[in-house]
Amino acid sequence: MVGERFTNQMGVCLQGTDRITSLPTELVNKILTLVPIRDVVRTSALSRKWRYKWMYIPEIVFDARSIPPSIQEQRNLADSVNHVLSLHYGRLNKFGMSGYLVSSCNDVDRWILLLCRKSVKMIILDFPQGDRYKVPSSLFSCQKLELLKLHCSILNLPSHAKCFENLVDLDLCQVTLTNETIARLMVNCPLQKLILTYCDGFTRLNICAPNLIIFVLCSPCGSIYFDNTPQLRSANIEMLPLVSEASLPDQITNRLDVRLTGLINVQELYICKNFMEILAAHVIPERLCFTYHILTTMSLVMNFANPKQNSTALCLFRSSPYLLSLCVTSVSSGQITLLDDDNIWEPIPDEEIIFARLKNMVLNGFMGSQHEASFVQFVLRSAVMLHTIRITWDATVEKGTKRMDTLEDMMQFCRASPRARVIFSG
Amino acid sequence: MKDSFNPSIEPPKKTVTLVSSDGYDFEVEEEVALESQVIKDGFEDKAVDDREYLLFNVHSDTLELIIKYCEKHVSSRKSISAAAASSSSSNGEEALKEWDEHFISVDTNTLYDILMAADYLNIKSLLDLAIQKVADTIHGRSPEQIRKKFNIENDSIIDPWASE
Repeated sequence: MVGERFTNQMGVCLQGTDRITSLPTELVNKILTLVPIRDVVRTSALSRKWRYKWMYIPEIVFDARSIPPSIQEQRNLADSVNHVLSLHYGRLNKFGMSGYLVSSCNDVDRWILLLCRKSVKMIILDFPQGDRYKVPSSLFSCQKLELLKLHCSILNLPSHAKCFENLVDLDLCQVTLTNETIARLMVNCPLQKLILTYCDGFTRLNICAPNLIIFVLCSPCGSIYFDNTPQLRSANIEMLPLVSEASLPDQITNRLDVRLTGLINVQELYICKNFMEILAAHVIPERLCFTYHILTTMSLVMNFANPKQNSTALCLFRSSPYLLSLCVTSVSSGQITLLDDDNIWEPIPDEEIIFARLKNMVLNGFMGSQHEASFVQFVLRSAVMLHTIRITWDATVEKGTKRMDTLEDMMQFCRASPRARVIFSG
Repeated sequence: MKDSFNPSIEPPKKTVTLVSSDGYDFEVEEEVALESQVIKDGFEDKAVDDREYLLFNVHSDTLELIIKYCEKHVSSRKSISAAAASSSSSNGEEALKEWDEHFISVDTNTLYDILMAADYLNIKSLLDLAIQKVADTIHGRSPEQIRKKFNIENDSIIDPWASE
């Protein structure tokens, strides 16, 4: 059954013989892939048989591990990359370059051309802070590309260029790109992961990616709409305010249902501060017109003093009956103060079932306000399966009487789950 | 096979026989043998009473180590998932990592035997472990040190890169 792949025999005493040199190429490549490129190239000095072995490695990555301080000087580094790329033979799976090369280095343009000929599948270009590297349009000729990770660059997809057809993973950090470029990068490719952190140049996002599984946004953006994302499982959204006022007000919808409908199949949902504010500006129904059937993990950053944010949170909780784990981070903006009468967490009748499966909740930045406390009371009263609530005090709240008073009040809250524990820290 | 988990509470296990290249039989539980992708592929097609595998390329000394590794991983996986189900915290994964680290700290020859056997039997996690160990041995060492470690004979006439 088990085939005879290697006929040379093991078990015979081979003490003192060189066995690594005769390893199959596939295994040698696997080993060398895990070694920093500098040491990989140095294996050529081992023996005659080793001289050319490294040239067939499937991955070339220049990172902190492989760049000694002595060659961090630009020219030397560029020379090293040139040297390695010119001697490398055949196809290349992955090329990575992180941290050291300044964006004005025009060798990079040439490397991209070379990589394209090597049918590269993964490109990671990580430029240091400063001027952004203008990615040449030749990058778009790398039609085999499956993963693209850029840091500190300008990416512009020319209208005549073909978009990537095989792109699965797109991770951009501090990249400037237009509305049109970002939209075209998503279409016609099996994109599964999209990460946009501190990117700029675009004002709106219309996410149309039928294979998308993971989406992370933390960038200035005026409007977001999930057009076609049936596979989306994890969404982490923070929309920072746009610097310029050039953007038009978002006219897609003012209904929360419509805004969130594309996120219907998420398992994990992370709503950060500004996105929460944007959501709270919609018309908030009592509950969404759909139910989050597989949503188990939710994280919200919210201002308990804002009545609309409280309503938005409650609406989301009502629509997420399968929630297992919830993390709420309390922030205060100090603008709107909620009157005690507006406290929406108190009047909810006990019969209404919310948090039917919730096991763990974390509340960060706890300031001991009335509204936060009644939210905790509400969770304790509703969550019948509750295991633990972890509450972390906001650092600004002084230790002492105020904390003690709040604690005394909270001790009295009744608990729907007999085994619920409340743990304070911070 | 010292690390096998206590089978007393569970129903009797089905076993398969692995035969080493030097002719020793090793009877192991089915799920332990199935850690090998090569054995797993086509396992169902084999008659139940004919579950014997002749491993022409694995010496008994190596096979013993391989079985030890697979048994440890099967049992750890069970205890980790049991801990997760009861949502009790466990450091099972970390402990297993430590165990792996200790397991793979062997002389170059044994490491090579494990590497070849893991490749032959297609046990991915073990192959990755062995490969990482070889890579760590190369990392940061001079060519002379690497040659010594792996008994590579220096037959280069010139050393074009050595002056780097």
